[in-house]
Amino acid sequence: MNRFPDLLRYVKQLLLNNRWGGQTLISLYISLISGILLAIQYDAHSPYYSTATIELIAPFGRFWRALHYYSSQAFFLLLLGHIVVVLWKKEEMLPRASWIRLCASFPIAVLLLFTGYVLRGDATGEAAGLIAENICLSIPVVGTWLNDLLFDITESGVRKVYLHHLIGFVALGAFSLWPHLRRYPAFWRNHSVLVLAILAISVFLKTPMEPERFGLLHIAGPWFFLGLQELLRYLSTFVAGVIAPCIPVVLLFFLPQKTEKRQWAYIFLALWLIAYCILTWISYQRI
Amino acid sequence: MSGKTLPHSSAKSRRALLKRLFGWSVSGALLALLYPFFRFTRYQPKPKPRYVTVPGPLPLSGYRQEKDFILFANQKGTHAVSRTCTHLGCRVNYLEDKEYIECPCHQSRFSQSGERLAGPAERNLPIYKVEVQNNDNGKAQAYVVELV
Ligand code: HEM
Ligand code: FES
Repeated sequence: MNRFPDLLRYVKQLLLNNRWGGQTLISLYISLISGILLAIQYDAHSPYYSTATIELIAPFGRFWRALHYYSSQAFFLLLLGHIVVVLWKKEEMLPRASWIRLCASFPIAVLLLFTGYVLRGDATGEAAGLIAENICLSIPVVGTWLNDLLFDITESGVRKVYLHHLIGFVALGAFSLWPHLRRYPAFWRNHSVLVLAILAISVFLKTPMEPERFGLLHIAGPWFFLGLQELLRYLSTFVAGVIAPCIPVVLLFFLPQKTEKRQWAYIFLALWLIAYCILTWISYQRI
Repeated sequence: MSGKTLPHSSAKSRRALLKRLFGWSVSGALLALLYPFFRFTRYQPKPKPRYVTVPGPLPLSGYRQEKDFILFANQKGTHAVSRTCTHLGCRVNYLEDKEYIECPCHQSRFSQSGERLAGPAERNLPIYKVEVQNNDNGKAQAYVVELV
């Protein structure tokens, strides 16, 4: 009668042995390629208009847009899986400086994904951009400067966001991942199933787009920011928008070397994740 | 190379000193670069005041929602309210049936005159000046809203 534990063990082995890292990288490559292609038609002066043109008019625009969107989502989810499995396996940790450089790729990935939504320029993207700008402005001392550097939507539209999505964050990400990628390259031939799956999803699924329309009384942010959107209702902008999301990043950066201390860090990470899931669920109920 | 002419240890320590000096000057130069970096990235060209003309008269409902403001013109007077939510900047909407303004992001509410009623926003919505241009019969022909 020990079927169930067997199954659990089997699933666990499956998860642990999956090539998360390679899959993450391959979806990133697809995202980069399709992103460059989209940029040929995209125009940062009229974000919504050009996204709609790509989606509705440009030949195969719908497919390329979907490919960029779904490969980016796959990249982010696989990266999460990759990080969880690496922490779970308790593989030997890098020296602190290298570790922080590597882990910086995670917040950079979030920013890349997020700025993508802003570029879409629909109701969701526009609101998300404005909220990001105001969160940035809530940071004491360096807030305005950081906003001028990163978002500045009110003054510059998506111009700066576009720049960072295409070059700034990509370059930062490349820097952060460089030593890691030299050690662990990924080969397309090992990941044909993933590539086919992403291609199929992009052919068959529609990419979300929320036109600005009369009576749009609830705008939901990107799915990974729903929890943040909910928290912003209750707490001050700085606490909800900066401190709260920085907690897991700081924990990850300064993950203790010693096993028993590291256990505590894991517990806090897990608690944070659970709280975030609950907030996301509450926020989702409002849609 | 100078190991023969100088006692070994003093040459070594001089090299170390030079190395340290060089290191410090590189750090100093990088630090000094921060200033032009901040000045450049923080520069903002001055925004021009914008005038938006709304053709009159308004529909019977007495309001008109534009991209950046909501214009109200009724017996009580004429004014324009900003559509930028004072919480985190989303674009607010006027709900005609409920007679208040609501934000789609976290549902902050404001009165017609922009006063905050409920929700996470703390400040009132800004009000813009409106100039009414009447025609010969004294009917409003156009509203010019000054956005600042
Ligand atoms: C890891 C890298 C990247 C991620 C995670 C990412 C993510 C995203 C996401 C989520 C969107 C929104 C798509 C939509 O809703 O339509 C987007 C849009 C866009 N991305 Fe990327 N992107 C990445 C890299 C790039 C690169 C390298 C480029 C170009 C060189 C690029 C160009 C664009 C353009 C032009 C759009 C707007 C077009 C549209 O929305 O239809 N992206 N990106
Ligand atoms: S942005 Fe309007 S309520 Fe939060």
